[in-house]
Amino acid sequence: MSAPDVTQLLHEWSSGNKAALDSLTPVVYDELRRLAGVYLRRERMDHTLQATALVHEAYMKLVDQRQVRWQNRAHFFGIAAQMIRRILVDHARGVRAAKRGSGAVALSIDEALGVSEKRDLELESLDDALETLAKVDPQQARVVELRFFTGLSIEETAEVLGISESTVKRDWVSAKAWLFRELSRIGT
Amino acid sequence: MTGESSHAAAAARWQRVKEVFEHALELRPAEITPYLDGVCDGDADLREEVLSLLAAHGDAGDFLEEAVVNLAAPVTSAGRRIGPYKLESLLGQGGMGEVYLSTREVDGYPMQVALKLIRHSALTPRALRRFRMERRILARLHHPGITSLIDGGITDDGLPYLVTEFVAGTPLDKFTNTLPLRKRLELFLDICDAVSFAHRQLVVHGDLKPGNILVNAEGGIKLLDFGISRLLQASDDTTEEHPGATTQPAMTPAWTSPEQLRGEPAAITSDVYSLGRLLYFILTNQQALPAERLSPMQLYERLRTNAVEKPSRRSGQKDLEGDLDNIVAKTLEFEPAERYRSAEALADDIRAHLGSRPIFAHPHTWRYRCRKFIARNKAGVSAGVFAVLALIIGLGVALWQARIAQRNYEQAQRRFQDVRRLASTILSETDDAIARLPGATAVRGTLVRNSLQYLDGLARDSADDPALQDELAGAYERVGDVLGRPGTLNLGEMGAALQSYRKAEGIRRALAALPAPPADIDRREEALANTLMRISSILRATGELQAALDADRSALEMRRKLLERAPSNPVRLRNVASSVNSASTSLSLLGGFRGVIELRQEGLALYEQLVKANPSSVDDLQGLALAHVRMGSILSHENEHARAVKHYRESLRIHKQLRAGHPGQAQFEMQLALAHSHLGNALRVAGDQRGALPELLESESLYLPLVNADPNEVRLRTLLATTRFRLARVYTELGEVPRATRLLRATLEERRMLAERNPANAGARGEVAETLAALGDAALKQRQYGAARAEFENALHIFGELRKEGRSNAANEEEVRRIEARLAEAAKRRP
Repeated sequence: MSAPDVTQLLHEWSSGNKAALDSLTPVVYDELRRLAGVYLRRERMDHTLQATALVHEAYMKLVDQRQVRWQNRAHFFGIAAQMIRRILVDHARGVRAAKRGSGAVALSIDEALGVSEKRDLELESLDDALETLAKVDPQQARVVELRFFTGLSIEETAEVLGISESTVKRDWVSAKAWLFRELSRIGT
Repeated sequence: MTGESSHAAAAARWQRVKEVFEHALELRPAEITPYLDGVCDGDADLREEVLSLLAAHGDAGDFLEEAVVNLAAPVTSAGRRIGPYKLESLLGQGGMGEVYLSTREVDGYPMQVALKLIRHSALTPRALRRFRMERRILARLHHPGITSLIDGGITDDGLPYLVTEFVAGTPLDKFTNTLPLRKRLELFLDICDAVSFAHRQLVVHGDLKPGNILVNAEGGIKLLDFGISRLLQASDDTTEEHPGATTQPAMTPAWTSPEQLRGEPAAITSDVYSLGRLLYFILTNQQALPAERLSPMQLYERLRTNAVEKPSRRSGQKDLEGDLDNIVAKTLEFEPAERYRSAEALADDIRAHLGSRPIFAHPHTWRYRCRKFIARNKAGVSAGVFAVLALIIGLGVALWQARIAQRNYEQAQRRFQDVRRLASTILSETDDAIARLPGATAVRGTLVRNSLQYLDGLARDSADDPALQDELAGAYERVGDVLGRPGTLNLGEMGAALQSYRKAEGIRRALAALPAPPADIDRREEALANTLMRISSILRATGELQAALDADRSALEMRRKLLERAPSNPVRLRNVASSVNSASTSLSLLGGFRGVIELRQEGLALYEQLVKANPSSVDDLQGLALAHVRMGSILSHENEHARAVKHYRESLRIHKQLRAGHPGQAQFEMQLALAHSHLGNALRVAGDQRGALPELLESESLYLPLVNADPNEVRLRTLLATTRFRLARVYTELGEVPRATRLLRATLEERRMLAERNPANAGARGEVAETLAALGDAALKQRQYGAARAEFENALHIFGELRKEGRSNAANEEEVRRIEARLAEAAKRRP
C-alpha cells in the first residue's frame, strides 16, 4: 500500500471514521513487523532504541509528511504502541531464554549491548500485569501502553483514545499504583 | 456463576476500587481513615485494596514515568543543556518543534540566543548529511534584516537543533499598523531587501508570513527562520526521477504560494508570491484570502478559481487604487511566470510608485488573470531567474537563457532545482577561503557526494549542448578533487575520484573531437590535458604506474603542441613544466631512471623561468619547490647526496616564504611540514642523522595541530605517519632502539588504519610493509632474530601481494631486495 493511503486513512480515522482503523492497522503492522525483523536481526543497539527507530522509519515511510497534523501522528503511534510492546516483550523473553540456554557467553554479549537483564525481567512482568489489568479495564491498560510504550503525552493519549484528558490522568495514576503493587509482589 | 459474569463482576469491582482510590488521593492523610470507614462499610477487602494502592502510589516515585520508547518527546526541555547552550524558557512551539530562549556564556557574560529544537521525526543518516550541508549555507546569510544562524547541530538523542540570534520585537501580525502609507511601504521595502539578499545567496525562505517577521522599537525589521523551511526539507529524501523535488513540511498554507500548496518546492517566485500576501496584509491589515478552516487543497482550489479582491476595494482606501492594486495583483499571480521575477523587481516597482515614476506592473494583469496564461510559453520569466543563477555560478547567461527558453515549463523548473542545488554545492566547495581552513574536509565530503547525483542528472539532460557539457566536465573534476586529488586536502576516496575524472575525460574527449574554431579547439585540448594530469596523479597513487605514465605522455604531447602555437604563453609554459615533472615521476616509479634526470632538469629550468617572470605567483613557487624536490629525490637515488640535500633545502626555503605570506592556511602549513620531512629524510639517507633529527621533529610539530584540527583528513595523517616513520629510523641509527620501536609500533597502527580506510591506495599498503620492515631492522639491532624474521616475513607478504596485483613500484622492489638480504642475515643467527 502506498503512502497516501495511510495518510488518508489516518485523516479519516481522526475525523471520526472508526472503520478506517480496520484498514489501517494491518498496513502499519506489516510494515513494523518487516522492519522489526530487520532491526532485531542486526542486534547491535539497545532494543528500545531499535524500536524507536523502526517506528519512526515506518512512520516516515507510510505517511505523507505534508498532510498530517499532530493528531494523526498520535494516532499512528497509537497503533504502533501495541506492536512495540509485543516486539520488546518478545525480545526480552527471547533474550532471557537464550541466557538460560547458553549461559555465560550469551550474557556477556548481552551486557556488551547495554541491555540489562533486570529491565528485560521488568518488561516481562509488566506485560503480564498489563494483561491482567486489560481483563478488568481494557481502556486503562491501553493508557499505560500508549504512555509507557510510546511516550505519548496525556493530551495525545486522550486524542487517540477519544476520552478526556482528566480521564487519562486519573487512569494513569491508578494504573501506576496498581502495576507498582503487582510488580513489587512479584519481586518479593 | 459463569466465567463471563465473574469477569463483569471483577471489572465492576475494579471501577469501584478506582473510584474510592481516586477520591482518597485528594484527601489529607488524616481524612483518609474516616473516609474509608464510611465508604467501605464493612467491605474489608475494598478497604485493604485501596490502602495498598495508596501505599503503592506513595512508593511508586517515577515508576513508568520514563517511557521505554519515547516517540513523542516531552513537551518542554527547559532547563536542559544542549552543547554550550542552556535552555531557559519556551518562546514558541510548532509542528516542527520548539524554540527556547537560551543562554551561552561568552567571556563570562551570558549571551541570549534562540535555540530551535527540531522534533520533525527521526532523521536518516542521509537526511542528517543534507541538514548539515544546508546549515552551512545558511550560516553565511548575514544581513541586518535576517536573524543570523549562529550554530546548530545534533543533540545526543539525535534531534537537529539550530541556534539563531535572539531578537526582541513584535511580530508583524501583532504590530498595530498605524503608520502612514509611505512608512508602511518603506517597511515592506526593508523586507524585500532582506529577501532579495537571501535569493542572491540562493536561499529561498519558503514560509514568509507576518509571524516570521519582527518589527523592533525603531521600526527595523528582522526576518526569522530564513531558509529553515528548506533546511527541514532536507529531511525528506528526494525521489530518483526528480532529484530536486522535495516536499514542503514547513509551510503555512494561508501565506503560501499555489505551487507550494501543490507540493512543489519553493522557488524565488514562491517567495515573491508570499511577499505579495504580506504586502496585501500591510496595506489593508487583512488577509488577501481568508484561509481559516481550509485544507491546503481547498485553499489551492480557491486560489485557482477566485480572483483576489483589490486591496483598495477591500480596505476602502482610495490611495491604494492604481499602482498599488496593480503591484499586488502582479505579485499574487497564480502562475509563477506571471509574477515579478524577483523580490528586487517587486521592490523596484514600489520605489517607482513612491517616486511617482511609471511602474512595471500593468493594469491588464487584472484582466488577464492567471489561468488564461496556462497555454502560453512561460519560459521567459523563469529564464530571468536562471540568469541570476547563471551569473553566480559562472555559466554563460545567454546560453542558459537560450537553452531554457527551448524547454517546456516543467523541465525548466526541474532544471532550476538541479542547478540551484548544484550551485549551492559548488559555491560552497570552491569558496577557497573556507575550503582552506582546517576542519573543512568533512563538510566538503557531504557536499560532494550530494552534488554527484545532480551532475549525473544534468549530464543525461545536456548531451546535445557542448557548452553545458564543458561546464559539467569541470564540475566532475571539482568533485573528483575533493574526493581524492593527491597533493591537496581530500577525502581519500581515490577510486571514486578516478571515476569522476574519467567521466570528465569522456566528455572532454568527445568535445575535443568536435569541429570548432581554433581558439575553441585549443581551449578544449588544454582542458583535456588538465583532466589527464589529474588522472595520472590518481593512477600513480593507486600504483597503476604504466597507465599513469600513458596519461602523462598523452598530456605532455598535447601541451607541447599547444606551446608551439603560442611559445611565450606563461600558462602553456607552466603546463608543459608540470607535465614534464609528472611524467618524470611516473617514469622513476617504474624504474626507468635513465631519462628521469633529464626530464627533471627540464622541468626545473621551466619553473625557474616562470618564477623569474612572476616572482609572487603561488602556483609557480609551488611548482619550483616541487621541481627541486624531484631533482633531490632522483639525485638521492643516484647516491649524489650532497647535491640532493641542496635541492631539498631550496624547496624548504620556498615553502617557508609561502607560509609567511599566507598565515593560518592549512595548505601552506602542510607543505612546509612536508618540506622539512623531505629534507630530514635526505639528510638521513646521506648519513647525517644529527642533522636529520631537528628537521623531522619540526615537521612533526607542524603537522600535529593540523591533524588535530581535522582528524578526517587522510593526507595529513598519512604525511605525519611518514615523518614519524623517518624519525623512528633516525632513532634506530642513533642507537635509541626502544624509542624507535615504540614510535614504529604506533606508526604501524596508524598506517594500517589508513590503508584500511583507502584500500585502493597501493602506497598506503606499501607503507605498512615498510614499517614492518623497519621494526625488523630495529629487532635485528637488538639481536632479537626471531622477532626480526617475523616482521620481515610479514613485510614481504604485503609486498608480494602488491606485486601480484600489479601495483608494486621500483622503490618497493628495492626494499624487497633489501629485506630479503636482512632476512637471510637474521636466519643465519639463532633465534
